[in-house]
Amino acid sequence: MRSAGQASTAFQRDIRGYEPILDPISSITPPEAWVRVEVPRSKWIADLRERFDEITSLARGWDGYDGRPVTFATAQFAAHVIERLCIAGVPSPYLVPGSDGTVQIEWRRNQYDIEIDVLAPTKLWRFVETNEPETRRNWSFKWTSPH
Amino acid sequence: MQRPEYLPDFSDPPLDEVVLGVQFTPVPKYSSVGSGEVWGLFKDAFPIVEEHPLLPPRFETFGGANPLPDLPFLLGRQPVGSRLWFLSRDLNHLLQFQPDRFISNWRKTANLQPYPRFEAIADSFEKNLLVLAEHFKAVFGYQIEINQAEISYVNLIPVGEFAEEERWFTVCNSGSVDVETLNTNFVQVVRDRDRKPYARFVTEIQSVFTLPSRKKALKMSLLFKGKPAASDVPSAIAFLRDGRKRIVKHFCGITTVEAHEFWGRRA
Amino acid sequence: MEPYDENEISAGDVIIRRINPRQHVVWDENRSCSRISSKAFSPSSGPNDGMSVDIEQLMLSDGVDPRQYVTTPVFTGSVAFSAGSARALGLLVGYDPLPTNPYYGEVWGGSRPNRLSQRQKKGLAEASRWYVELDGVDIL
Repeated sequence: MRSAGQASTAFQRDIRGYEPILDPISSITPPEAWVRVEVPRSKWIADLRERFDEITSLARGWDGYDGRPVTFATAQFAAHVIERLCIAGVPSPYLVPGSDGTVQIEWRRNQYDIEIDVLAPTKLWRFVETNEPETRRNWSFKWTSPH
Repeated sequence: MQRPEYLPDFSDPPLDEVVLGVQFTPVPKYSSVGSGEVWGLFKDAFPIVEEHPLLPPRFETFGGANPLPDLPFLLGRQPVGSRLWFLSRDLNHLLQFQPDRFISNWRKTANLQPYPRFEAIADSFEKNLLVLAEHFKAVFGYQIEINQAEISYVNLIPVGEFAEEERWFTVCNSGSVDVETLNTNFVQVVRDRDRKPYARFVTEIQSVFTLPSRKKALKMSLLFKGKPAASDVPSAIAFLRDGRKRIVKHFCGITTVEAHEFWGRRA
Repeated sequence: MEPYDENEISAGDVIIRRINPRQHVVWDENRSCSRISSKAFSPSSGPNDGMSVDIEQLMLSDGVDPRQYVTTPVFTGSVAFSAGSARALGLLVGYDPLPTNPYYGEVWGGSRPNRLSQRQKKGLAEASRWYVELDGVDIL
């Protein structure tokens, strides 16, 4: 005995805060299913929400040349990285747009300069420099993994 | 593509949908004006078109001090456009296209076509993805850069009562509890040979009511998603094949022997 | 434009890089100052695209006021460094005139045209002086 066609998940709708895990790529998701607009859990993302809006809406030529706004996909990935890295009590980073649609996440505090250059979804360059005398060094890493 | 001989096989699995998909860096300079040309690539086999809202970008990320599940929040100015569905005449097969995604769905519909098997679905998806990639290269000078891939098996098991779940699943055991509704999900991080995480395996079991008959059923969704080893099409296909093996093995592991007999396990 | 190094641009020639006061400036808690982000010294998109610059000598030859030119149509500050200091970092400096900017040039990475290393970005910042200064902002 088989059932064909769509299924409704009435149980989900009754539960507040239920998070559908699956990406809605399934074609059998009922078309009337609601779209949940999630509230990010980290303070950093809450702090940076307007800044993300700004850098993805920059006018062409914002840098005095032919600069483009940060691409939506790159911004989304940067936001995911920031969400993962968030540490309570640490101020949120700066976001600096590149002329080419990329974005750099950076902190300059506690004697550290930390830069994460988000070049594209899943492509990052990370640079860390410390001015602490006993540990003066810098690291530069390229990430192409999901991290 | 040949089915691996060691992989368990069923003559009549409870499959309701199989989905293969890739996400890639958005095609530069693409606009919705080009959607007609994209449809033209697949029109012969997929003559029916529907429009749906865009899917947001999704990434599997790992580590960090805030190890919470990825939530689909959206920040910034969102692109304008739509996700197009290209459907086959029998409505069993579907391609989904938007400027940063390409997805293929097989679904069991009212015409009850037999399940064509993963090998046929994957071969078709690979062929169509290569056609799309070639189109991007020729028209936009863009070499496709795939950054995520996913494969999903959605199963639908009709039941008389939701409390029957222990007849079908080894991971559920309600005992004497009169189950009104059921929702179980668990997520595993998948690591490569160097122990670096690169994907997630998601299992979700829910009590549902089928439409339009409102009959009770248990829906089991198995999803494997993450970043392929490289950004080209062959790497994405390899990722999906690996995902399929994991899904089949996992499916056997969390369903009962009685269920296997019902579904006609052959190997 | 394919990356190349222009012979007619001599070592002492002034190369100008515009700095957006809102987008390129960050607060440095370590030094309690505002400063230019290293991201300001980054190239544009495309495999052969370098870092956009203006060539002062071309403007002077045309009788154009460089300081006025580089503050329109979008007001930006700007820094300047010598072509020689860029080349000393392994970078290439060339012309790339555009219909909208005939004084436009590019600075390319040596081994990777569209990517400057951290050392090169820092080197450019260290070699720079204000051309159109942003009040209260340090270059480095």
